[in-house]
Amino acid sequence: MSDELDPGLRRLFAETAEASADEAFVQGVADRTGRERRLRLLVRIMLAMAAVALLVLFATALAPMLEAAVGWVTVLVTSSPMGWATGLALILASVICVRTLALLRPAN
Amino acid sequence: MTPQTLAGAAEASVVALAVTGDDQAFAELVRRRQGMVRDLMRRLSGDRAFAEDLAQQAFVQAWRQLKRLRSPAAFGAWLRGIAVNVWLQEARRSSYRLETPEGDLPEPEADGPAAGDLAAARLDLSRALLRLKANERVCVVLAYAEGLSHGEIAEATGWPLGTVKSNVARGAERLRAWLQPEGERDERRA
Repeated sequence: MSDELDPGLRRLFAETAEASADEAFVQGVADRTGRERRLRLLVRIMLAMAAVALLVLFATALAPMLEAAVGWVTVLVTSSPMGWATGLALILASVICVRTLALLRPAN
Repeated sequence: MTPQTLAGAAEASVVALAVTGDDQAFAELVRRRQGMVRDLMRRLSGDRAFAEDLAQQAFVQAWRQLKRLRSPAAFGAWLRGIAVNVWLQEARRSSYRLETPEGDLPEPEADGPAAGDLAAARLDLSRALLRLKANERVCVVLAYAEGLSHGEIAEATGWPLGTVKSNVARGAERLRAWLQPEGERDERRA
């Protein structure tokens, strides 16, 4: 340490230092971290339950629309060779969209 | 790793293990560093029970942020920074508790009759430290008790170097002035 310090004060601080070391303190910290870990787990479980509940609500609301869309695509794809081509084009477009979005995501 | 192996391992290895979520490794780090953190908190707060609570808070904070530690070798300095921040946050939140008024200072906690002089010296210093402003107290304790350079204190507190220098100088000057009469009295007695 290069900074100039008062030697008398330095000596006083050194003489009055207390080196505490006991297992009760270590256990106290372990108890606190354990409590926090349990709390975190509880929060995660509650968040997961909330997410599932939201998903169920959305699925119930979106089910008729999804059913209609799947029916429309099925009819389109199976009706003619042109339909097959359209179906294939839809799949390709989806893949391109996903890849493009992945490229746009900022790198870590 | 068994507790015995952990006790003999290099700190960087124990830190690396604790980062992976190993509880025993973290307990070993607490075991090794508790002296530094508890002494620092005791000097800053002047209240033994409160200091113990703050020291535990600092370790819990470190446990939470352990994954953010970039270099395991820098664990000691990183932990000290966390401890200082825990205390500063507490100082901002409850300054009434940390700025102890005159006449409401702790009694010496002597370990026995032979420890009387040491206990008295601790009490004098503790009383004098409590009279300092919170930011001066942090700088003086880090410089004199922890042996940190002004640059290291600036890093630990996040304050400008000039502020740290003036806090250390002003704080030390005040401490000297408050502790001086005691020294003179001792000299006269001798």
